Formats: sequence, structure tokens, C-alpha cells
Amino acid sequence: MTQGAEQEIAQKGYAHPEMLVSTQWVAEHVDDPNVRIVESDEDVLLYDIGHIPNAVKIDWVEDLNDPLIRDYLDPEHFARLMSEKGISPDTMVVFYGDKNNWWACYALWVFGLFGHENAKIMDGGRLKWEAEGRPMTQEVPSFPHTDYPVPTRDDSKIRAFREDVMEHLEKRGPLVDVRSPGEYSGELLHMPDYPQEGALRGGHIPGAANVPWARAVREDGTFKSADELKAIYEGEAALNERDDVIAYCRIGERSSHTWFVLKYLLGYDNVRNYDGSWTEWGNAVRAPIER
Amino acid sequence: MPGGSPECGGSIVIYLAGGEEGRIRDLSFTGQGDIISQAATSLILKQVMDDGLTMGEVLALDYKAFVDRVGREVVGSRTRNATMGLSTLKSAIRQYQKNRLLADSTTEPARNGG
Repeated sequence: MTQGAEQEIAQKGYAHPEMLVSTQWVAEHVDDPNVRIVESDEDVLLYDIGHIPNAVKIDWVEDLNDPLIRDYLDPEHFARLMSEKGISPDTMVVFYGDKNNWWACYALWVFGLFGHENAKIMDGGRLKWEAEGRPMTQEVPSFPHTDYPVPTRDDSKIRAFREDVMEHLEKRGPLVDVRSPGEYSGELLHMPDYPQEGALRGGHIPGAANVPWARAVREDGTFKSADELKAIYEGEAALNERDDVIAYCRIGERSSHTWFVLKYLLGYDNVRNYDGSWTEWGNAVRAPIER
Repeated sequence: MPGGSPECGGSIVIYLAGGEEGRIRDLSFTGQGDIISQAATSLILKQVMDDGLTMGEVLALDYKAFVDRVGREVVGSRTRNATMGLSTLKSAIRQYQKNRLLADSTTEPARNGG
């Protein structure tokens, strides 16, 4: 049975199909001691209403962020979090969540900063699991604490900072803005009604192509096939797998989803998520803007 | 009165019908967003109507006390989500009061309530 579901993923033609697992595969591994299923949602109370049996919650806001400065947690806290969730360096972590696995991808990306790369996304997320009528529970599992050595943190490969984006601009490197067209054009910022939290200026980083993040998924929450994705990111947005690409949105959450798509599904070697995104750029003095 | 960010993080629109002497005749909202923001909005509107608060009293409501009522454990750091409803309601009231002032400052005859 798993074979059929995994074949479906294999048939989508991805560069790294092994980065996705099917709901069926997860159903067959809920008791696997080498696997840790992690739910990471934007709507953080969804887990409490019901989750995949034996899944633990990782709250992106509370667990993965530094409480004081705008950054992710430090390596010591990451190691402690892993230990608490019963994750060891060898554990395969399978992320899933709401909104097309948007926050699941963000969590997977943060794990990547700490070198925990044995991580996958459950294709289709919460939506698909529920739609298939699979069991959900409110029981919160408890796993024995593991020994997780404090990792080395390296942001350079998958994270872009403001200075990196400035350098990238000078080289006319490709950028992809994954927000809605209204945010991209700066129009939304000028809607007198909605008090837009975050930016003093609207628009986009000069030269950025606009591909709203959710174009990468189908209605059932699963990712589109490689061919469909190429038509969008390469056909429309003129990206290329040999490019050095930077993706951004408002706070880096939607762009980590696109980062996942470009890096693992389309096999781009050089993709970085600019998590400062528009909340930083749109407020930065003298940062160039286009509308 | 809208509040929040429709594209990311949730948003609501609050509908307020004003009554005589700073009272609130009716309150409702529409919205989309996480459970915290939508439920907290529902909670505050219900509290205001159940307690019969006037607009002035709503403006004086304390955010911290409201978040305590929703539950600190539930809200955690997401205080913005939890207070979206109350802050938008306060904005709606201020807008309503401003509109009344502008209306009253013309030579039109006085209106009844909202």
C-alpha cells in the first residue's frame, strides 16, 4: 500500500522525492521509534484539537524563536528542545501542518540551520490526513528525553540577511517575492482600511519576480508535479536551477515554503530564504524599492 | 472597521451599531485567521454586549486583563492575535465617535442614535 502512495510522489518527477512522505507512509510509521512526527502550524491550537497519533507539537513562535531579539533560538536551546521532544541526531523528523504545510516547511528550514537534515514533509499536510479520514487524537505523547549534542549553527547556506540581498541586487541575482500581487505592488499597503502591521513602504525588492507561494500546491494541499512547478518558476518567473536564488515574503514564512519547493522539489543547489523579508526591507532606510 | 492582515496572520472586520448616549446597540464580526484571533474576537464582543458596556467603557478596557481572561497559557506570545478583536473594536468606536462629531458639526438636524 505504501508503495502506491510513494509511487505517486515518485511520479511527480522531483529532484529529491525522498524529502516527501505520503500520509500512508506516516500512518504506517506512527509507532516507529526512529521517526518523530512533528506538527507545526500557523494556527497553533489545531494540534490541541486533534493531531496525528504520536505527533509532537513544535510551536514556531514559542519554540523556534529567540524570546528577545529577532532571530531563531541558539544551538543550546535547539539541543534542549530536541531532547525534550525525544529527537536524537539520527531521528527522521517528519513535519506536517496547516495551510499547505506552510509552517511545516518553515520549521524544517529552521532545523536546517542546525544541521538536522534528516527531515521530511508529509505531502498534503493536515488537510489531506483529515480528508482521508485518518485517525486523530488529543493525547499528547511523551517520549524519553534524548541526548542531543549541541549542534553547530550555520545560517550561510540557506539564509540570506539584508546585506546579502544588497550584494545580490548589485549582481542582479534572481529574487522571488512570494507574496500576493497586492502586497508585491504595494497596493495593499495603501488600502486605507487595513492597518498593515509592519512596513512603512510598499512595493517589492527591485527585479524580484512575483510568484505567490500557494501556486506551488494543489487543492488537496499536496505539491504540484515538477513539470507544473517548472512551468511556473522557470517558464513564468525565468528562474533556472543553476541560479543563486533568494526568496522572501513578509516575515519569511511563506518564502520558506517556496525555498523548499525550489531546493528539494526542483533541485536548486543555491536557494536562500531572506527571512527579514518585507517587514525589514519595507522599513529599512534607503533600501531600494520598485512598484 | 477592519483589523489585522488579510494576507498573513488573520484579519477581522467589526460591525458596530451605536445607540443613544454612547451605548452600543449591536456588534458583530467576520474574519479569517487562527483560532486564537477568531475566538478572542468572539469573546470580547460577547463580553461587551453581555456586560452592556458603553463605548467609553470599551475604550478603557485593559488589554492585559483581557489576555488573562483568554488565558496566558493559550495565548503565549501571540498577544497580537488575542487582542486583534479588542483593538479593532476600539478603532471602530473611535471612528464612530469621529463620524458623529463630524456629522454634528454640520448644520444638519440632530440624528437619533446610530
